[in-house]
Amino acid sequence: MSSEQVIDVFKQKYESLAGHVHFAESGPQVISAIKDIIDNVPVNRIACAGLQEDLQTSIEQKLGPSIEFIKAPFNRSDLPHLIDTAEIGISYADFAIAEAGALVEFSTNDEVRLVSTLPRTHICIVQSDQILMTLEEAAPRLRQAFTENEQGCVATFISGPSRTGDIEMILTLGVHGPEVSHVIVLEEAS
Amino acid sequence: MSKARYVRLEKEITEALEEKPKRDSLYRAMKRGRDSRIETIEALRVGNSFRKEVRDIKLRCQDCQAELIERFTENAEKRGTTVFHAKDGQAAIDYILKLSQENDVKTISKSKSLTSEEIEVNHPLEDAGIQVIETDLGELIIQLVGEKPYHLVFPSVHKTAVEVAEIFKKETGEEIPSDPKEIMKVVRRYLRPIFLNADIGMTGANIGIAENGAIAIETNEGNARLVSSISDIHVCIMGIEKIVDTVEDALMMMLAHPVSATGQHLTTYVTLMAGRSSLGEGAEKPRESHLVLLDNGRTEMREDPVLNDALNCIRCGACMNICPTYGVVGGHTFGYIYPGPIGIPWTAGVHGLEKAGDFSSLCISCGLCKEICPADIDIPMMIAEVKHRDMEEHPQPLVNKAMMQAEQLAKIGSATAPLSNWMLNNDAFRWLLEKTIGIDQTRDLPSFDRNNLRKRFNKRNHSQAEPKHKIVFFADIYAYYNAPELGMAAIEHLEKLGCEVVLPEQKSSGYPYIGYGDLDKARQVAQFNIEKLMPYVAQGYHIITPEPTAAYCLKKSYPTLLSDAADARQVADATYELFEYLLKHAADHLTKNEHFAGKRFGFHVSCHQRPLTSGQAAMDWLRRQGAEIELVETGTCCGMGGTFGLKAGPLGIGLSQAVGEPLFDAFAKANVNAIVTESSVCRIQLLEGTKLAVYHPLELLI
Ligand code: SF4
Ligand code: SF4
Repeated sequence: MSSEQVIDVFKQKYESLAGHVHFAESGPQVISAIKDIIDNVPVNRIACAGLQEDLQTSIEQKLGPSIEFIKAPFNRSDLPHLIDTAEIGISYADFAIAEAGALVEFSTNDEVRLVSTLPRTHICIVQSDQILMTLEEAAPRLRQAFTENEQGCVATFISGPSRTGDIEMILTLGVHGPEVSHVIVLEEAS
Repeated sequence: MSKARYVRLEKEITEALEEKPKRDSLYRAMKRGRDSRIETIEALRVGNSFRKEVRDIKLRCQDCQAELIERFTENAEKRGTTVFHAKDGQAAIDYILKLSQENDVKTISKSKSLTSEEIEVNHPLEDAGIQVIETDLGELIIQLVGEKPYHLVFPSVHKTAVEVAEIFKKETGEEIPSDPKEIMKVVRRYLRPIFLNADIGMTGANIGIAENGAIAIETNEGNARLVSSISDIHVCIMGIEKIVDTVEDALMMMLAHPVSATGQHLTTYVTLMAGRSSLGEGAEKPRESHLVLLDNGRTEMREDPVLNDALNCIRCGACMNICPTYGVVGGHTFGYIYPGPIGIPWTAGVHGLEKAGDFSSLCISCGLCKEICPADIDIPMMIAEVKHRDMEEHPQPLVNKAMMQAEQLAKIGSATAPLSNWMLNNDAFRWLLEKTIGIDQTRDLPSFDRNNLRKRFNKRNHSQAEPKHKIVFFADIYAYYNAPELGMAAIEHLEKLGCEVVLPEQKSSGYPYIGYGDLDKARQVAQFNIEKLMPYVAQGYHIITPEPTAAYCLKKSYPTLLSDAADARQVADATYELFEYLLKHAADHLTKNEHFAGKRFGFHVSCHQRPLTSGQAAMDWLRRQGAEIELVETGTCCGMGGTFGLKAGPLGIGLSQAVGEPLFDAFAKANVNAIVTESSVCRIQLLEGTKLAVYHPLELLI
């Protein structure tokens, strides 16, 4: 299966899980995708975690200063409350699984997990060449991550926004985690 | 004591029967779970074969469980996790209480964990002045009203939006419209400070991975992500049976669980957590991770030759989505803390036989839970074993004993026909039968034929020169004593194909013994039949039976009952359903029968056929002769449950008919002239429930 097909499977599956998929070929396109997303949401504060430094810097330059950016290093005493005040969280997924429509986030600091869970809108960036087709293919990557990080290490599979069917089996989004989930697929060689 | 148990069940069933809307919503939820599951499995690359993989993994891991526990513990400890091996619930509770007191804990946020329900950890913590708050929406709802989970995956599926809105109104003082979206906003606001400020976050875990000491926690709502990341102390309670060997094993479980539970490919959030990460920079003290590995009867269960299969359960709840009687009464009646089919053996294992026996009689032995289970667990056989062990303390009610004697009664009925038939149709006698034995007087029981199958078979003139195939006919009760003409028709069809047919001495399948739990008798019957059949099988005979339950017994139940003995296996392998055989050998000779013109039939698959031909052979056989046949089904049982539905009262005909309702409706909507089914007992139920004529496929051609 070609990489375009894999990306296509991912897009379809992720959208079927109520997520939104955007494509970007470069850093500037990532920023304009983010801009499009936040144009529709009243936003004062954006929490970021795990982004590459240059991307982080240019996002701030382009979207600030009307929006405040909070990012690592976070001070323990400000957490978790500070991240809870952000309307949007932007973070990075190490890879994705097309057939399941899942993003996989590695973290060694729980601030990353809070950025992708607490805000109402989550934007996740993933490299297009890091989208795997099947769940099985995740095994070596998980193994490697857990081996490399001898202490705390968390791998989280995220398939769209937070959902529940606990009331009359009616699908409702955003009960605890994000209500809106965007992924920006960066089609640039890593 | 036994009496009190039945009084409670009958009272609760009666209440459930009166609450049609609640029943309907549970039914819809279950059906939706089943339908989505099937859809997803069809789309899976591996298809249904993932069940075999899951079972293999679980068996392999249970086999070396002690070693896995050791390796898991070692690896988790290397990452700074404190692992506590709790031999029972009390030990686990004491540990968590002590930890809470040492850290001056005021609030614990909790993410759904059935294992923590199992040991009822909330009460002692609350008694110690600690606030424990469930954050899974369904769990929170039932926590607020002080109930137990109604369903493993959807604990509050029995509550309507109106009721839920009312519950949160009471809790928050806010006016809340009964729209799930609006309720959700309130819940988000209500729970957020609890997540942010809890001193301990407590979760369960779906999987433990020995290879690296990680745990996997699955939630759709994402509450476990918050619970496991915010508080400085994370406590996880996990049953020891959850530990698998490798990351690959874990990925298989991560797939099997949501596919079976809700038809999702993966649960929305799966958190694989190894050790404890820091939060931000500059913390005053390191964050803690405590893993309570719970035994609580599991090691003993593993030693149990029958109940050990329950340890393969991955808690997906699929068996709850298909169990016909659970679907009517729900998890409060059909369960102790663990609800549904697997709840029976699990309750026996961790909460004791007595509690399991309190609701095991709700199982009507349809066998469907085994077929849907991703780990292919023989739940029905474990339930039979629970009933069997329970019989010692609690003798079976008379009516169950009578049902187990079905064959002896049929023998007498046939020998004394037509007098017996006159009695069956006599109101006074039927009244008496209900009052004394407990067989419902309104059930239309099949009449007996004095000229039974054996007599007819011996009388017939048939000689087969150079037979093409050799067949042993296994009749079972109905084709022997009630409708021998049907048995003969089957035999004639086989002979027309050039088969030599023999009818050696045999007992009926004895399935009622399994259904009501007299496994000693069930084994005797199985042994008897195997002994009689085996000499023929050894000479190359095939065994043919027209009754689905008999085929199920010979192919599935006997080998299990007889510990997979070689002769039982050989008999199983040589057994075929009648139409499977007819179709295989006569498919090319079937011609259109004008008899069928202009008629539409609805086909009903009996539960015991599902792991066999699923009725496909019979339908195909009829279709090739020009019959227009539509499969009409709900994916579950008609409610008869063998002889269960013949019993009087709520724990009999009442429950039986309630189970059947959706199927009766489906037949009413299907616009068919008559129903076709191979099962002699489903026939009784469908006849009464639909008022349509019901035929055995062969009858259509007689
Ligand atoms: S065998 Fe049928 S009735 Fe019994 S528990 Fe399983 S699904 Fe329910
Ligand atoms: S017994 Fe099987 S179907 Fe039932 S919850 Fe366990 S794994 Fe799922």
